[in-house]
Amino acid sequence: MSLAKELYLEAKEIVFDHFRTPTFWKVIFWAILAIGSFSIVYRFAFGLGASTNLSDEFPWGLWIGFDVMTGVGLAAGGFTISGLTYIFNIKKFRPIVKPAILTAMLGYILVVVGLLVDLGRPWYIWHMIIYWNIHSPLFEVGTCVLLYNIVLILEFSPVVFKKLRWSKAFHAVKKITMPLVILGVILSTLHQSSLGSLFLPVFTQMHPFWYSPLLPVLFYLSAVMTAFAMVTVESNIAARALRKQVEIGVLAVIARILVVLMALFGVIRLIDLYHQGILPQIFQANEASLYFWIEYSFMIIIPLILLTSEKRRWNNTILFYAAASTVIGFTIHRLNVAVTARTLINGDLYSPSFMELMTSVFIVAVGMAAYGFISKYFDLHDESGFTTELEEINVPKGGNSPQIQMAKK
Amino acid sequence: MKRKALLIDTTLCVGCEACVWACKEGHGLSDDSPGKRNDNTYTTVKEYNDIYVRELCLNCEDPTCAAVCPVGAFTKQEAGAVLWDEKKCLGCRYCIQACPFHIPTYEWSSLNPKVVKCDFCHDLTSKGESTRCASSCPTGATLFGDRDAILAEARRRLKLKKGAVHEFPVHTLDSGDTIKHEALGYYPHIFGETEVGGTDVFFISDRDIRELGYFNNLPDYALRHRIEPAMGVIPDVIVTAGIFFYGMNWIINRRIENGVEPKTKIFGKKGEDK
Repeated sequence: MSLAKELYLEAKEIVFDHFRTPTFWKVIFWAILAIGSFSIVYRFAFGLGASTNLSDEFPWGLWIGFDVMTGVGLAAGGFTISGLTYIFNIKKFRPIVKPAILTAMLGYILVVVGLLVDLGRPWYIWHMIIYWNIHSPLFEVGTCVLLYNIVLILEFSPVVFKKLRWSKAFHAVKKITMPLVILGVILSTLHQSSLGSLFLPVFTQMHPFWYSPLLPVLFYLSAVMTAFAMVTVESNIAARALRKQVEIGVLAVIARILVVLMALFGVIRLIDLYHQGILPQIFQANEASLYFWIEYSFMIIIPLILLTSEKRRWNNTILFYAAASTVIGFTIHRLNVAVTARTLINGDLYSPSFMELMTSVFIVAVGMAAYGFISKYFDLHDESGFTTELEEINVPKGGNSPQIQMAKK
Repeated sequence: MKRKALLIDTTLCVGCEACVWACKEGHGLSDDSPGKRNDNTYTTVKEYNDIYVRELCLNCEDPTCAAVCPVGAFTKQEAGAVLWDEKKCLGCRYCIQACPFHIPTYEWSSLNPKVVKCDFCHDLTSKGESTRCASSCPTGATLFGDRDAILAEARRRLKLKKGAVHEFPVHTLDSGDTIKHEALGYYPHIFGETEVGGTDVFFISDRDIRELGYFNNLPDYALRHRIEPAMGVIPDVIVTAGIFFYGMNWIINRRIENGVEPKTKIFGKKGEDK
């Protein structure tokens, strides 16, 4: 049997396996897929005005606040974990580096998809490459996201080359691993912080709880922090889906990093409010402080309490819920900056339409499905990582990889 | 070509909307009744209790829209107009989000949407001619002229004695036409002289116009200066981070090779490593 046919049969097997046993969650997924694609088709057929609640008073809504600003932040695990593994040579993180890079790659591709839906003239997105306004934070974000997409695809490509048994390409990419990883860290540092810079000129229209001259620093820190929470969450989900054991030894180490970063971010957030002279205002009872405390509790207080004890850090259930809380808090934080801060100043001008909501849910669902497929199809949990020599790659003949056998059980 | 400007004197405005209709006609927009500014109405006259205030693009000297646009679709023209370039725009709407005066509007219903706003009648002002709103204003409430001369006129008016009858130029500063009007007395602030680095449309009124709507808390520097500290460090970050991470990698790998550092036990629970 030729290699191409073998690979095709294996992919077919995974997809067929998905349809063979419909479960509750699979039905939900298909429903999301149907409604989401309808929303996107509707948006392109009838325009932004017909499908969204956006207006001249509120031009950036859920698609920017969630799909782009939260999506980029949640995909930060790619550069943090690859940085720790390759630059700082912490071999302990080897087992999770490829899943982290895969999540980041899918995340960034979906950010671009979300952006294409949101842009008024998506067919001109390449204008960012030829018309430069180097003073615009959005130009910076756009350029970095484009370049980082290329870096991520290259970082992930050895996994694909291994599967295709393209030894030359595999070794060529392997040789530039270190420059790629360092480039990825630099690009991420730049655009993760520039996402915060987007709001620097808008300060007259934002509630002071969420505006700060430090926004770029806060955005960078919160993204790095949430990256570790996100890795914990997705390791759990992936382990459940692939019926594998969670790497609790690695996750406990990550939890320790997470505790330090949460304490750091939590304190810097308060120091920042103090220097703006509005720290006492968070103790007043009003709408703004309510939003602040919801965000701060989920993002910092709850997970910090849960994770401060060594014993609890080795308990996977607690780890999972603490990390999930951080991820939720982070999402609330980004949405507060993008949406709530503006509505608190200019009045309740915006809540997302059903189609906006379903498009965002659709994008998340597609990302999870793609992750599920790729993690079953490719070998992500090879502990030897990028350093795998080609001799070790002995794909069993007949298209029966260990993953498939596991899925069949 | 000298920089042109508009002076809007709310004490002279009677709310007749001649400017609105002249603008619509001159720009070939449909003549449906203007409620608020949108892709069909570049300017409106808004009523606040007993005074009328025009809404139009202030054509900033150092425009925020031009600073934030990722593809540089906005440009400041010599005569004063801030123009949007249809050929560049990709529809991110950052201009609408960032404008401190909430001026640009979007063709939300279109499948190929444009950003629309007052263009300072660039077809006329680039030849030194008056904008349509100023030419059509019967009371001189909107007045066109060279920017420094318009500013001098605004300063002159702030000093006018309350209650006395004065002459006010109509249409343009040098048109020669004037009307006589009783000065209502002015609040001593020319809105637009310093706001966000100065604009090419000035407002004077008998009260503090900043208290109307969203004109409050604007700094007297261009909003671009808020972004620059963050954007300016980007080259530094690239260079320092590059050297730092390469250096760290080099040091750590050397230490592992020389056996100074344990190969696996960098993090982890005691006795947990294999």
